This record gives sequence, C-alpha cells and structure tokens, in this order.
Amino acid sequence: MNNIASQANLMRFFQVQQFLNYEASLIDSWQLDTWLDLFTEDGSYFVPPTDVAADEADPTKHLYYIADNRGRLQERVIRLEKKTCHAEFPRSKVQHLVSNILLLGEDEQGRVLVSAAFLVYRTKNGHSDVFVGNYRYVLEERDGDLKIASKTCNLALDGLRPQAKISIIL
Amino acid sequence: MSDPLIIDDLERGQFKVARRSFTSQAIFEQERDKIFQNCWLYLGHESELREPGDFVSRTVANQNLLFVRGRDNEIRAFFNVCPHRGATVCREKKGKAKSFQCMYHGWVFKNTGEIAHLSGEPAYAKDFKDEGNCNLRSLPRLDQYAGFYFISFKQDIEPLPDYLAGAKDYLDIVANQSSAGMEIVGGTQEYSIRANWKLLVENSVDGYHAESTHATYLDYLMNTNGSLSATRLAGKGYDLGNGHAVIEYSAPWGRPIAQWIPMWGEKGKEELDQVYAELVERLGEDKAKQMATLNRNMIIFPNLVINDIMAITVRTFYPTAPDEMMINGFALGVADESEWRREYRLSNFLEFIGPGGFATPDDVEALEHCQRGFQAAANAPWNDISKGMKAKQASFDDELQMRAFWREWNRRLSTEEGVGHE
Repeated sequence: MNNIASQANLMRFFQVQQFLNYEASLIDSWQLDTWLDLFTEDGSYFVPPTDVAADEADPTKHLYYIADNRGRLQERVIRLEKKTCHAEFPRSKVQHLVSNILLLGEDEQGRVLVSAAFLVYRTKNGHSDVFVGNYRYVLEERDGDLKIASKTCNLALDGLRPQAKISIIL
Repeated sequence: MSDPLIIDDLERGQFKVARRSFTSQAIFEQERDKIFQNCWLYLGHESELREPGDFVSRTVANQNLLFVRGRDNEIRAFFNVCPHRGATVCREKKGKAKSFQCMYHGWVFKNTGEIAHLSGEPAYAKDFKDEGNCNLRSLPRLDQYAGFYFISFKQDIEPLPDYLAGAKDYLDIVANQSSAGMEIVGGTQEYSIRANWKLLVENSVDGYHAESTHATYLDYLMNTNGSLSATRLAGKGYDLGNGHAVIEYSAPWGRPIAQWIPMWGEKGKEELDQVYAELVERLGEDKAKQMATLNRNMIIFPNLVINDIMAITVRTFYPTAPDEMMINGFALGVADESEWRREYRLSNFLEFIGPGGFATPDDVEALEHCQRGFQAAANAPWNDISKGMKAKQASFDDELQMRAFWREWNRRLSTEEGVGHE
C-alpha cells in the first residue's frame, strides 16, 4: 500500500490528510474539547522518551513523557482549560505543520495505520520552541468519520532542550 | 564581606538570598570552581550497569564521562575524552562494548580503560604506552552508597559516607524498599530550563508551593475516582548536614510501595498488604511504616534530588549558564515488582513529574518567571527564605531545607582559595 497510487487509496489519503489538518487546526485554535471528541472512547495519546528506540518503547516498561489513556487525556484537556494551568496561562501561540503523510495499511481490525511528520511551534514569553518528529496514528472509521484510536508522537529530538516541557498538545 | 549573598538573622527570623546569586556570571564561575569541582556529584545507579561491558555515557557538570562495568566486573568512571587529541571516545548513550574506539585517529581502549591498540604504534617511542598516558583518564574519585554512584573531580575530598552525612539514612530508605534491590527504569527525561540551577534545588524540596502552583494536579486527583486516600498532607523538614536536607510527610496520593488507594482495587490491596508485611518482617514496624507511608523530597548537595513521592525520581542537573540548566530525570523502581505495580509507578510518575506531567510544566513556568524577575535585582535585590525560621521543629512546608542548602552554598563560595578547602 505504501507506494501504490490507486483511486481508492487516493480517496483514503485525502480523507486522512483532511482529518490530520483538521485535528491540527483544533489544537492550534485551542478548541481542545472538540479535539478530544476526535478520539475513540478508549483512545490514547503517547509521547515516548527520546533515548529509547521508537519500535522498542513500551509505556508499561519505559518512562514516557506522556502516556494518556482516554481518562487522563480528558483530564489533560480539563487542566489546559484552567487559569491555574500556569504553564499555559496566558496561552501559548501554537502552530502545527503536518506533512509527509503516509498510509501504512490496515491492522487486523481494519483500522487505518498512518505515519506523518510534524513540526509544532510553541511561542510564549518571547521564546519560540520547536517540536519535530513523527506521528503514528491508528484511525478507526465510525459512520464515515475517522476517529483516533491511538496517537503516538515520536520526537526526533535529543530530549527537550531547550523546550523544557510539553505543556501543549503535540 | 561587605556585600553579602546571604542574610541569616535568626534573632529576627529573617533569611534572605541576594538575587544576583542567580544572575551573575562571576558567581556562576565561582560555583563551577568552588562547588562543582569540589563536591561529590551523582553519576548513575548500579542497576544501569548489570553485566561486564555495560556502559552509559553521561554529562556531569558539563563534562562528558563514561560509566562502565569492565570485563573484570569492576565499575569505573572515565573522562570520555581521548588522551590523544581530546575527541569524545564513546558517542553512544548506552550499550555494551568490549572496547571503545576513538573515531579520530583510531585509538582503541579496553572497557577497563587501558589502551588496547595504538594505531601507527611503530612511529612512537618504544616505551610510549608504559606510563599510562595512553589510557582513558579515570575520574579522580568514584564511590557508591546504597547503589548510587558519585564522582568527584577533587582527589583529596572527604570520603563519600562522611560527605553524605545524614542523607545516608534517607538513601537507605530509598534503596531498601525490596530485598531484590532497586533499578532505574528505561527512558530518561532529558530537558533544560531557562532558569538558574538553584531555583530547581529550592523547588524540588518546596512543600509550600504545592497548593498554588499545583492546584490543577490536586484538582485532578480529587476528580479521579479512587485516587486519594484519607491521609492528609503533614510532616517535617530536616537539615541533614553538609547542605543536604529532606522533607518527610504524609500525603493522600497512592504510593506503589504500600500506600494503597481505592483505584488499585481489592487485588492491588492484597498485593500491597503482602509487600507491607514483608517490609515489617525485614525492617520492623517503625521503619516499614516510615518507608511505605511517608513521602520524602531530598536534596543532596549540590545537585542531586531524590523524591520518593507517588513514584521515585532521581533527578540531577547542572548549569550551563547563569540562566540555563540541563536536567536528567530517571524513574527508580523496585527491581522485582509486579507488572501491575510497575505500570502504576510509571503512571504515577509521568502524571505528576516531568515535562509532560500535570505539575512539572507549572514548576518550569514559575522558575523561568523567577529568573525574569531577578533582572530587577539592582532595585529589588532579595529573595526571602524565612518561613518557619523560628519554629522549634520545621514543618514540611517551611523553608528550613532551603536554608540548609543556601548556608552550605554560601560557606563554599566564601572560601578564599580558588579551589576551596574544608
């Protein structure tokens, strides 16, 4: 599937591209409740460590930066909407650039596996920090819409220097 | 000194730190020479080097070091610097190796540090290798306590156990949580903060800031069914000598060493009851209770923090400039704990601690704003660290532990010699 351009793939590609761009626009405009609704009821969100290979990292065995099940993801959104979430009050300016979208195929449950590259700029207090890396998505089709079953953000960084924190959604 | 860095006035109950301590380039350089060159500094944990050949390359106080278990099973620390022309010899973060080859001119070193192959050897004098000048250079001092390895750049420093003073008892509490020992869990939180390193020292042992800085974390615990026990926040602060200090307190969150919360279910309760029973049998009721139910935030002077809270973090950091520090955070776990406990330990850890958690990002915001505030030091020169100064026994949310650090910091900076002496 990786390099076969068929008409069916073209439609799927367009659907995925539109979906990822829509997701990014929701994060950038701080519509995080709507963003949360993009996840399935058991959806998860991960940012693995930068000193463990992406294909070896396991949140039950390694210390991740973020390993949210749906419950904690919801709490993350609730927190980000509070004034007492000091790291994001006042809010950062956030801009995602999503590119290199690649359809990797489907898993045994027919879910769509997607890889994409990201650049995320976070600007606050006069500093612009850049997060760069690769997304791995597992997307589920529900009534014609895509939903995120899992989103993993593999940072192409040596740690968070100078970013210090991942206080926004990548 | 006419222009003090610290005002320590017990009579008036006032303790102040000059804000230029956080911004001055001259003080940054003095710290490098009088503190980082003269103290025992944390390097790594024994669990990171399980087998002969295991190595970790790590930067300590800006210097590249190599922490390695040699083929003779001995653990050593080297400057990760080629004796020939200074290139970094091992450029991998960790792994297993019989030898290390410098990429520049191809010198090869055994994992015990000796030169194994001197490329172009016939062109050198016959006895060229004999005095050891071709070997990797060892750190002047390396020692360990309870599995925690420390190095010193100073040859004639006091022995590590003397240096650690009262902190030894608390390292024992962290190290003895299982008869199987403790281990660093894979995955390092590596980050930097645009703030002076001493702000993180203060923050790591600050029981006073939780309610305001971490309001959203406490909200989160309250919102999440079963994440809290009935235990309230209460406890004490102790000066452990030599600049080390600890706060020890009870708290409502779950601790994977035997403070159960309803979220962990009946099966979890059974398991933690067993863990607790084993602790009582091995250590006695008092020690077991202290270990299982009390939280500890400890600073080991100058730059090691071990926080045994909802998880255990080992955190070390060093300044690269007056307004920038590099931080490495590790999770320490019980070596033989069940998958279930390990999962909750990691979950507890990243929920609160670290760059993606619900608390650390707010600490970073606070520290970076303190650093900005210090730009006004010429007209607003003093930080206040007086809380609890008149108390007979400091509370966990007083500032005694920070005063202990600052007094030692000030004592070391006040020595006249470029390289300070006891």
